Amino acid sequence: MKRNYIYGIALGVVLLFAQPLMAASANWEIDKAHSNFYFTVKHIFSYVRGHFNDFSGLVVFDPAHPDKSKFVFEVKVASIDTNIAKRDKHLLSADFFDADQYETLTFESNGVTPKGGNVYDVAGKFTVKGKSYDLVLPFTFDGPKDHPAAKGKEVAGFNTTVTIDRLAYGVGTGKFYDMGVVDKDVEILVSLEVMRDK
Amino acid sequence: MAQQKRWVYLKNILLTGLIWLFFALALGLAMAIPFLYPTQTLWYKIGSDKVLLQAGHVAGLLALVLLFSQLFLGLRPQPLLATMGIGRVMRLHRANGVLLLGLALAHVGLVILPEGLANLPVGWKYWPELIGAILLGCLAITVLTAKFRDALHLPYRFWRGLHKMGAYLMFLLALAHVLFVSDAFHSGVLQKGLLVCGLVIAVIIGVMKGNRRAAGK
Repeated sequence: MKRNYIYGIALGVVLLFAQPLMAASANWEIDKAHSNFYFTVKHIFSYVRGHFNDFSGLVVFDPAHPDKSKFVFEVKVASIDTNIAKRDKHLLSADFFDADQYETLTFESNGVTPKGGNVYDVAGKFTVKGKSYDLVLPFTFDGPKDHPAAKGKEVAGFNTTVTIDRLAYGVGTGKFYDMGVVDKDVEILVSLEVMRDK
Repeated sequence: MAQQKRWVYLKNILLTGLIWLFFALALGLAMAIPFLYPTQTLWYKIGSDKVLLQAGHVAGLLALVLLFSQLFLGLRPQPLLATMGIGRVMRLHRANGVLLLGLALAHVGLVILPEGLANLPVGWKYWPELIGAILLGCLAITVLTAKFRDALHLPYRFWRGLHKMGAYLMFLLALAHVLFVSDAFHSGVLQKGLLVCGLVIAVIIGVMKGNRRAAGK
């Protein structure tokens, strides 16, 4: 029993030191003030835009070794913001996200493939309302370069736009789509600015 | 002298009739508004949810009319006193208060039910709903302290001051709640109508209070 504790503590110490060592190589910190998960959906004729105010993530990326990359995102559904509180509340209801039951949207990569130029296909599992789906995010990687405003830091960017069928992910039953009010196709824009110490 | 008395009596009857007519009109309008000017929330409700939400809106607007009339009754308008007597006017004031609280509770229940209890509007983002919650709290305190003033051993003058202050506070809270919580009142005829109503009621109350002060009551 005592030995298990010692092993546990030793493993913790190793992980604690391993994290900064990894950071020096490929770990990037998401600059949350300049990153977000946006979505656009058609409402009858116009486009309604929204984003999520609360999210976190892990970005491990080295263009020289894309196979060793890792992208993990977690978005708090309750932080949805479309600029109309009542609409946000409706989106959180069982009609769409059922945020009381399913609090997060997550994405965890399981492979990164270079697609030429600065485009990388990030394949992973996208979990919505407790169910996981395969999803590929074709990220455009920009940078890295010295951060123009933060000394001693490097900055890079990841941007991707994908269009998904929300009904295929269980976000809504289709009644508002059938009514011709809320479209089923949702354009998602993931725009990340990431930083690391030089 | 007798003719003058008869004229005053007729005038009071006429004014009382007018007051009741305005009251009935206001109630009718309150019941019609959710159907004539449905909020956008109703666009996304179907079946029983739509019926419940619409009933909630009707209950809320009826409560608003009763709240406005409650202020008026509390000032004991002369025509009503002359035709109904102070006892009846005060009984009406008390019954109106209880009915008002009942409608306000029904409004909250009927509006929340179709949205689901798991999806309550909590947080600063929903400040107009928060004003509604504060209003409901004030209303409950006002009605309960009036009903159980003796049991609560509240000194009359203290209670009266609280009751009056609460009434004016609730008037402002109700205006703010309706104007900002419902998109039907965000612009156009309903917004302007409610603002004019609020202003007219404020002026009437001001004039009535001025007259009462001048008469030394």
